[in-house]
Amino acid sequence: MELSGTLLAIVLFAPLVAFLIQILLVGRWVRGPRVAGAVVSLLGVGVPFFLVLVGVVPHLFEPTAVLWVPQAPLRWIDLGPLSFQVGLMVDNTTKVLLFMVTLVCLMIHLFSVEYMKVRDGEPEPYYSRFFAYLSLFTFAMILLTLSDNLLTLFIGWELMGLCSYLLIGFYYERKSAQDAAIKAFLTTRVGDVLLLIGLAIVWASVGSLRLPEVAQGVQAGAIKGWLLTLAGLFLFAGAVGKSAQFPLHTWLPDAMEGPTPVSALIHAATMVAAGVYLAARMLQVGLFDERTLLVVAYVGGFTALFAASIALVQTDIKRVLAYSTVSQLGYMMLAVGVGNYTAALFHLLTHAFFKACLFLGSGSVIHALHEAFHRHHLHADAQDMRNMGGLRRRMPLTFGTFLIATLAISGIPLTAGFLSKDAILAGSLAYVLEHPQHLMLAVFGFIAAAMTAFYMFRLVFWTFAGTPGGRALGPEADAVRGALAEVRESSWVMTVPLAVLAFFALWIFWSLHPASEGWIAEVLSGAEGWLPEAAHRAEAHGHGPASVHLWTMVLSVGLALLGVLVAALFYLYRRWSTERFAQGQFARVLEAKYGLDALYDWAFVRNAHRLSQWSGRFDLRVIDGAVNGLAYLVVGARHSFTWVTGAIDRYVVDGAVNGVAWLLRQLGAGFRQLQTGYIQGYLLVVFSGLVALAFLISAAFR
Amino acid sequence: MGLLSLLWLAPVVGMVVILLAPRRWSRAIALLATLVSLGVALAIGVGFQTQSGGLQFVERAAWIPAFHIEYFLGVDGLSVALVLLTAVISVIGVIASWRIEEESHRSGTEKSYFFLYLLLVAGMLGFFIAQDLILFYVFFELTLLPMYFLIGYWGGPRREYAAIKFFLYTLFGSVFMLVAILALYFLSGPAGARTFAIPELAAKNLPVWVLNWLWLGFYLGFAIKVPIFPFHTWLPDAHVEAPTPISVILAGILLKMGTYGLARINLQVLGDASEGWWRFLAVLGVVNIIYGAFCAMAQLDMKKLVAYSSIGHMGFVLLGIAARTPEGVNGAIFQMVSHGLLSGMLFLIVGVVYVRAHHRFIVYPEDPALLQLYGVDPSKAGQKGFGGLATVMPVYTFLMAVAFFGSLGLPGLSGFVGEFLSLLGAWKTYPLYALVSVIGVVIGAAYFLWTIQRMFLGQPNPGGERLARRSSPRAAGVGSAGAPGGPAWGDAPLGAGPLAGNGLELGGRSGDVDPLGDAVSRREKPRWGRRPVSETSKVWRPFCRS
Repeated sequence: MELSGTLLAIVLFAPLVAFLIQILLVGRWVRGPRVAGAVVSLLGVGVPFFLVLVGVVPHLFEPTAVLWVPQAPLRWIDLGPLSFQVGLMVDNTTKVLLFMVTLVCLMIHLFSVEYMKVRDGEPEPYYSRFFAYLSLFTFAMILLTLSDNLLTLFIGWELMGLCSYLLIGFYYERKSAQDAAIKAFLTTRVGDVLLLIGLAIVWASVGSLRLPEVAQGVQAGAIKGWLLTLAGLFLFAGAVGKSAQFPLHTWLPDAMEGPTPVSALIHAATMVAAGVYLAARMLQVGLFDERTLLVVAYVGGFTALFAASIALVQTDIKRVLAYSTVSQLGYMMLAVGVGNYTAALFHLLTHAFFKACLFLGSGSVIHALHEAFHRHHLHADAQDMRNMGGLRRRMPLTFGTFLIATLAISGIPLTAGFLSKDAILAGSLAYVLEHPQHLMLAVFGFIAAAMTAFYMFRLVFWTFAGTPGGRALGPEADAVRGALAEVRESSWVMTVPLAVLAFFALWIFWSLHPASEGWIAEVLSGAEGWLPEAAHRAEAHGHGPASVHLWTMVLSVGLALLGVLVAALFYLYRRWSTERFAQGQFARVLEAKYGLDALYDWAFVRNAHRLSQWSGRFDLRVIDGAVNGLAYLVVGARHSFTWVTGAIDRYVVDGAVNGVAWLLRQLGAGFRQLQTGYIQGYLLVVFSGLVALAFLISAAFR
Repeated sequence: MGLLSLLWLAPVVGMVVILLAPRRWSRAIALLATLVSLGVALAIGVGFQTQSGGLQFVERAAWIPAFHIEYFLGVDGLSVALVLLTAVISVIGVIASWRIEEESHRSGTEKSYFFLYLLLVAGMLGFFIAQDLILFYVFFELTLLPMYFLIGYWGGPRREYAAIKFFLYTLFGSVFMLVAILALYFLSGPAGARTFAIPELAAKNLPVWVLNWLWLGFYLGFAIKVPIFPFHTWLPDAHVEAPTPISVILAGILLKMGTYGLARINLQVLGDASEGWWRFLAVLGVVNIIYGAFCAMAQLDMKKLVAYSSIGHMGFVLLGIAARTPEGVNGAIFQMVSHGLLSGMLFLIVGVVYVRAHHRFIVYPEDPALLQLYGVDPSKAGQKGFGGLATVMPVYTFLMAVAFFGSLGLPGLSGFVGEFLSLLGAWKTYPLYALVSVIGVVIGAAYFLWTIQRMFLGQPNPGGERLARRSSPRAAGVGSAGAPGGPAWGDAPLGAGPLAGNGLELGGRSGDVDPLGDAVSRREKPRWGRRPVSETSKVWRPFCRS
């Protein structure tokens, strides 16, 4: 099928139409079965997926980009000579991203059909609303992917933030969900407003926000030196917020308050990866210079290690995955920072599949446990891994797919994750060989790789291996064990998406050769038709010599296997005990997430409240007090004035002075009119003053 | 008579008809008059040539030839935007005033209310199309008088204080403006060649020191109207005490008179004043944004919160105007229109809960005097005023979310375009201020989200279920209708403007809905589908209803 503007428009707007139908019609005027909403949403993402499959994927190996700007350029905000033109763009990056986004969205929609049906034993009251939000989100993500300009990209970016807020707070009766939603929105908003400043710099310097024109402008030197660095840093700040990089990462683990499919879609596969996408685009158009890139690399590398270390001690299954997401996004940023955006985008794609699979797998487990606990009237936490264990026999399909995804994220050969992670690590190693002073970048990456394997297998062993409820604590422990024995595998509506996503976590789709990047690298690094030639210089960094690749492979696989082995010794074979570590200071620091959440809470949240209280009081007492004080002063002056006249009247008055006193009193009365609120009085004063003034001034200037 | 004369004379004719017609026709006449104005405004908007600059639909005649005062009307892109806004908001205001008698406990006052309302509308419309300074000033002052009475008679418990404060404060500022107007006139040329016409004054080359003094004079007049820090304290009082439709007008249009004046006079006529003044204006814009946001966050009264948020949002208008770049000025104009619609919607939203619950406290204040003033049970001090409204009133909550997210600048709704353009423009001239102002954007999001959390999420307050469940879809539907859309228009297109609707239905139902917390007064009133409670049936009330 021809890759046309119409096709793209349908891909883009189908989910929006689905959203509008749901929000305006379903359940209000159109009464139907509860699944009607889900069907509308499934169509809203299914149609785009189908169109991408037949209309975009066959064009994967055509190197030219398709720019689609409506006939008369769509000028959205038109300021005469200056206008913001918007259009759609499809290049190689977009093609593969579109495929990933629509497929993952479709799978997660399907999974949600079953997962969201029940809330605490009752039919979910806001079933249709959930799917409406998912559709809006899908629209926003596709808008971001297809935008040829930073303006609509930013709009999609913010709309995703809104959906994220709405879906994290989906269970809005819960205080923790409300707080998490606000935290997510505000933390990313900090990044967003800085991104806005970045856009302002680009607009002021280049005079356009369209990516091809920005690329040309940057190459022509419209923006350079420290201003370029500044622009790059501001733009990167937006990516830091959205992709939950250090130091704005704290919202993502809390965002797990949302329903699990939301965590899979928004907080793992797509929205949080948008920051990486933005960073990669900025690298392509040249807005990231050497200095910015170094910052990007360090932030990414540090985040990869930092988040992985927190994941080591988490006991909530979704929080482990959340920190792992932060860590993996750090890897991608690291790749962008060393100039290897191909690897970054590759990892973005593979990560989307295997992390969505992991989240949905955990969702499947949580769903089953929730049901079992509910049946037994237990209040045990269905997300706490200590209440799990031994589930591999009860839920074999979930276990199998989860294991594949775990192998992928750990970077074990024959998985997609191995290929992409290897590309990133090789890139960083090659960079370090060139710049030995930045040795830490590679160190971050490799240590985090070992940690990833460790905490992921810890999760698998706790959840699926061992005896059911072996780690359960508290008075309900026995009952939990009993409930776990009755857990059943989820229905096909939930396991089919798992299987599909697990397939994409294997190497075979990405490359026939299990140890080389295959077609995807070719597609991603292919010349982007809309970029100026010189823009490809950045790509040169990515590929080190072949020996680097070999060493990376040996090192990363070795470290990953080491992580698995240690995890197995601790948690599977129980040769070693974690008790001494768990009681140590370091574990406490990790459990407190290095104290950053508490620090932010104190430094920003409480101080903002304090400042607002202070402003409110200042406004009421000082500023308004001054206004009122002035008014009292005027009134008081009038009173004393009349008092004086009164005194004169009483004591000094004689027949001769009578007239003067009378005059004064009249004056006082006249002034009193000022305060009585008689409009005629005011108008009289105004107009007589006007006339007098006119005469005075005309006399003066004559 | 041209379209522009018709525009402002339609409400005047309406006033005369109201005086002559029976009392119960007043609101219908007011609605008709404002609809005529809206029609004329739409005709002007359609007929407006966006590509050609300069004034259009010009009407010019001598008024007081001795002083070269003219009846001079005309519109350019800036005026058209605000004329359309005014016309739309005026109609909404009338609909929101439909039950003003019951809502403000002033029976039999419709006639005077709508008379004054139309006078206000005429003044506002005239102000935005006047191109002669004296005419401009007359219309500016013309809005004061009706506003004074509308707040002072139909307002809340502290209405008189608020009305006098509003009146005197604004009058105080306009005196300086008047001096500046006269000075400008006498400096505009030798005797005989003097003029009050704005376009001609803009073409004059006056020495910078003169411009600077004139700038200050006009600034004082407009700064109080906008309001710009530190002249803003009349605004929360006036907003809180004014009845809902008047708050809508006040925030939606009256504040824009200040920023319109800054753009029309200070920028167009006195644009060559010293750089220092513009820097000064930009700094105050930033102060407005940040200070307004922090003050809004501290408020316990929802209406006061919206009032302070207005102060913050007007800061972006100031920043845009001060930047003097195409993006900045257009952003400022856009922000004026967008804020006019959004703040109108916000006040209507507050009005809905007030009519039903008879209070607006997000959290009841600790201050006993304040509690007594609003007739709240003192034992409630410090407790949550509302909770879980999302469960009780889902459609209302949706509309509220549109208005809140629009106000906090979410792309896709109109607030974003104004803020975005203002920031873009401000970056070109004052990068540092643009950078600092984004703090206000974050805080703005914080207080709106916090308000949503405290009022709409969580569990409903005890008794809250009774509030609205049965009537909510219908009532909130008319309560305010969000209509994001994107028709490109003129030099400052409306990217997306949630258009506010009103509380017609709500007013009618105010009496029969049980208040959320505590009733100030429980009024018995005829209701749809139920027998009116007549004098005779009162005898039986103990058996009818506890």
